[in-house]
Amino acid sequence: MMDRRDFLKLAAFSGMSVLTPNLLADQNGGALYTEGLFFINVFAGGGWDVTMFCDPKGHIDGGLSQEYQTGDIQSTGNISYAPPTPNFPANNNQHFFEKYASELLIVNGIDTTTNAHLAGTRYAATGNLQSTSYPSFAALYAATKSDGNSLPLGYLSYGSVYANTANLLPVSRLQDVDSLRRLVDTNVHREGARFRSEFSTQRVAEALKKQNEKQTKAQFHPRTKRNMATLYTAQLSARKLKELSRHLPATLPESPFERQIVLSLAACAAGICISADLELGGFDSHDNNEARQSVLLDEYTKGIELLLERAETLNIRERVLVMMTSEFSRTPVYNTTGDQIGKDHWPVNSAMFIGPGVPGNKVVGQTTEGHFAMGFDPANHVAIPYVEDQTLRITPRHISESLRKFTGISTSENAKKFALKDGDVIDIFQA
Amino acid sequence: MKILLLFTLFVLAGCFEGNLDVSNATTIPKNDVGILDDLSGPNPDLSVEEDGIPCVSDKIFFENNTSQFLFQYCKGCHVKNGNASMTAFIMKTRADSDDSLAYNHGLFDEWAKKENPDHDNASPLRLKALNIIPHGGEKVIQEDSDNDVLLLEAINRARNPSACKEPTPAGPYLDGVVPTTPYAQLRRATMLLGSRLPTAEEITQVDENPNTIDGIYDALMSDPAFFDFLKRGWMDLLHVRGLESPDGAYDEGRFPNMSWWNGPDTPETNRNRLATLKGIRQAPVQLILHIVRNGDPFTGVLTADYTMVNPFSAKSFDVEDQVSFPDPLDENAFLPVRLKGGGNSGIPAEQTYPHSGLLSSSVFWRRHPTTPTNLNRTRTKVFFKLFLDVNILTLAPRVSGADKILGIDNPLVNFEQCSVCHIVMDPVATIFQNFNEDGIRTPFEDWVPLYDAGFSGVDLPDTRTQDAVRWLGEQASMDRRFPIAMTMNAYFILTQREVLIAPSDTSVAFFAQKRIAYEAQQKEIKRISTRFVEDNYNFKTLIKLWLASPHLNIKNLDKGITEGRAEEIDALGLGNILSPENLQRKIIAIFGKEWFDEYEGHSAIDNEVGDSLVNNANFYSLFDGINSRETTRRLKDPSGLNGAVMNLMAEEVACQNTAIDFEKAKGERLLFPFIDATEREETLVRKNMVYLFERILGQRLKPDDADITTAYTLWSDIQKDGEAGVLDGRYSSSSAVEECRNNSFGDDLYTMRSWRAIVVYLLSNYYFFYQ
Repeated sequence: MMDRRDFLKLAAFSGMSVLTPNLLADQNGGALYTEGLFFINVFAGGGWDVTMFCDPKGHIDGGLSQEYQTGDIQSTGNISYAPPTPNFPANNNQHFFEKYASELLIVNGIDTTTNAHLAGTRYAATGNLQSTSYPSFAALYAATKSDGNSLPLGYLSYGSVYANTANLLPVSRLQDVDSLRRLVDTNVHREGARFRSEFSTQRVAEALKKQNEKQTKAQFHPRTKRNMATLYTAQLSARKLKELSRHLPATLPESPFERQIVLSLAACAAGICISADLELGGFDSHDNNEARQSVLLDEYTKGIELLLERAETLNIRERVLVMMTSEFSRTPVYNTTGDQIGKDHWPVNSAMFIGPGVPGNKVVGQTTEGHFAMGFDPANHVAIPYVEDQTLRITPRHISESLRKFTGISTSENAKKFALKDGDVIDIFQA
Repeated sequence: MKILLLFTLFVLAGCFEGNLDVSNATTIPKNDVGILDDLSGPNPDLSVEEDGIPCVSDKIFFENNTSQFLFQYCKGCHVKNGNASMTAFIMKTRADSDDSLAYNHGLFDEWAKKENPDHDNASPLRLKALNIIPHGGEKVIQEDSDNDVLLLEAINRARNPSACKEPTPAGPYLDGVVPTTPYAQLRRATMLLGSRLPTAEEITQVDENPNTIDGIYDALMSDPAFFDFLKRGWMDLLHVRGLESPDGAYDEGRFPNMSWWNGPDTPETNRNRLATLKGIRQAPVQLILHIVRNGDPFTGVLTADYTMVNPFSAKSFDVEDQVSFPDPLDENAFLPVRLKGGGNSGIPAEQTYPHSGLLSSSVFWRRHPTTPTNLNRTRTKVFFKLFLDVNILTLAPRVSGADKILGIDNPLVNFEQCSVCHIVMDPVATIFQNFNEDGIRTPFEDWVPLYDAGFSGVDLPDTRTQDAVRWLGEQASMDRRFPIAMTMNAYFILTQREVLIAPSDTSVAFFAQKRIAYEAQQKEIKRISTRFVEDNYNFKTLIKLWLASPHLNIKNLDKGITEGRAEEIDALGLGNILSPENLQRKIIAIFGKEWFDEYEGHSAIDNEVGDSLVNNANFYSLFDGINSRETTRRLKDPSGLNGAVMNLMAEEVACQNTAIDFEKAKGERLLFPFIDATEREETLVRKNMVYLFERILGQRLKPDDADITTAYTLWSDIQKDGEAGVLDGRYSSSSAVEECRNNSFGDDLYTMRSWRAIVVYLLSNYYFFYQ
């Protein structure tokens, strides 16, 4: 049987973090994540058009939205949002924002300083534009809150989301639930019979443990040693998949996006997942911007609704912190004329948050009428006119720093190891 | 001042990213669990400034700081075809040349040293950037801003070169490395390239003379299994498997016979349809296999004047007159053909289509589609990355001053924040307008004008507008970056890892060691790529040289090492976990049959590799198989989910193969050639144990080796418990293999079930899963 000491050793071998009080021992002597926040990042891959969503602008000559005028912008509480339009009446914005405004924190005017997909995706995930080796926040959080590999699905990632873990823990993809059911207890054959006797199973497990200790002790090549530890830990932690079976629905949604949501939440409820990077892709609307963004934002907001409702059903709603963002937004101007007009990459972005402790009905940061990022006064926590080299703008680094602080991992060893650059602090979660 | 700058200015670094950074942030555990007790080992030769900050050489400073500054503020205009192309300060981009960094460094230093006597001998570079002297781009930075400080530092370094040196390892780079044994190299080669275990003859040959392995490599690379390996590797690079409906890649107006298989809903119709789709989908990768099989120069991937068809797709393209297949129903047989003009192709019927390897493959480009506004830029990105190792997306990761875009006419050309990338990308994207995604020629007059069509600073000749893609292939195949990119692709195929990228953040821990690792790998890449060129671009040479490379042959180190040294050598070794495809092949090689899903009636883990998206294998995606559509990257480290697949595989494969092996004559057995099913005599059990360790793990041990003793004790304990359990009724007297849907065998002594436990034990070992 695996005990806490084994986990700590393995975590050390594989460069992983250590056990935290959030984890309670399971029947195998390992641990499940039964307290603390889950972090779910729902990424709009390709670059969403926030002027059609949470930073509405209306129409100006040559750009912003062709579909509505400034006077058409709708609002609820302190939150403004883009309205349904005659061409796209199915727009779910009104329903979504009316339903969740009291819980929503919106950050507008995030200066991503990049127009490149890879760089933008990485910056949004890590808060570090420069380094390609930083872990995503979701990976950093899961590694810090868990003992890394001891949870079989500690960090889930889908699509093309930046999922570098910096070797803090492995990343999992979870898609096929039917086959998954056969993995919940690999000692038991599908028809219920055991493959081998309890004694045989136990003795082989003991021998494997000794073998792994011997092999890793004799190995000095760092990557080989790390691989040995990671493999063995993966084999051990697989036992915890049993917990998942209680939370899997009988059937899964057809939509791959919704399937990501349902499976991730089941893993969270089972205590074997801490964070997940989900993705709805296709937002890169260089052509046909309005139609494409409308359809995708509709699917996106309905997905968020499904996520929150499913979390409620699983009794983990009060533990789920949801982040909604993209790598950047779309240009204020259209790239051509005609029926298939599109928008290109634009480094001014937005993010939204819902979760316990998140100040709701609040918008932090601002953009100009032409969708340029305004400056931000961190002392008074208000947007101010931007003056180059004199005022701050909110950047993905500020978002990541705020997340680290909000989730209580900013002083952890992992956070220190992957420190973000010193600089002015903007706490987006400040009430 | 220099030290302070290092703190404040690294935010601007980050230009040279791109490939997956496998050097990332790996911290090797210290000896808190007694592993790295001996922390001795060489340290790199690093200069350190007074307060302990690493000393950064001028070269590294330029690459990581100055170059990024130039990208951000200067390269939008000061490049060929840029708005400042008439000036004397013209830089190169990575897409222009593989020596752009060195060239730009020299150019920058030359201009940095110029002194303007009217402005306190300041460099014209700074005076222009501040618009103190007239600058066409006006003022691009503010005086005393961080960028100004950076520029001053860069100019100062040019005028007063730093004493800091490039980091170098303290001793030989491979110092302390224990290389892989010739036997292990042999086994790895036969498994990877041949999907089989080494033969007794090969083992004897290599034992007697390790140098003979070179000839074995050659023989392996003539075997059909090698081309299966190569196909799988290139499928992971081309991702054409992710194409849903390859027949849609061709316009029926051009190929009226495209859907020749249409007919009544019969098995034959379905077979014809699927076989045709296979022929179309696999054409790009089959072209690669054809080049390698024939020993043709691998430049053919960009220049070959043919495409590939199987007997079924030959009908679709109406080229049956060009081919003669021994078996007209063999969907896996491919031959080269030249597609015809005519139809609506825009090419006269008497001419053939101007093929240019993969660059003229409609099915390949269909996998990387374009749009009316993307205008082939995605394809250009793929072209540069795959064939020239240039990642367009990382040329300029940071932009600023986006506020200025409004009011600028055609910002992709006239706004430096956009043009910095588009000036590189768009000349090639323009060329891809030569033929649309249906393979139909677009007249030059109808091309959407971006930048002037061209490649690497050379304009497309007027005489080549009708076959511009072929011209591009000719140019790119002669480019010095092509063999480098192919060497990297071969590395990826063998390791499933991308090569290291230059570390860009000098403030991170172990920067110097990461740099050493990068430089060492680059040196090896250049060595191998040079041999590749000398060997007339033979792709087999790349595979052979990488397999023999000391960088991929590391068994262990002779002692514990420091964290810094670990960073230097972390990328060494093959050391990657088996893909589901390779896992299945290994199982077949060892057990003679695949891991079969008894309930579903097909393979448990192997997808129909390289053919289609059809994924019958239940555990393929759960073991991180990719479909080349939603999932295109294989994961590096196994999670608990993968661990569960491994555990189930070990149980099922052991169950499916152990007892039944005893039913065969001893000479035909794959697992138990030395014992009877009821054998309990220790010497014989150990003898067979030794055999299993070698067969399953590739470990050649003596019967009295500690690992054999451990395994024997395990076998013996289980056997004794089992025998007693049968007697007292706890266990069945049969081998209970009915769970595996095999026949049931008498097992009163519990020996067969004990061997099954041993097989599970071995199938759970690191050396089974990692190659």
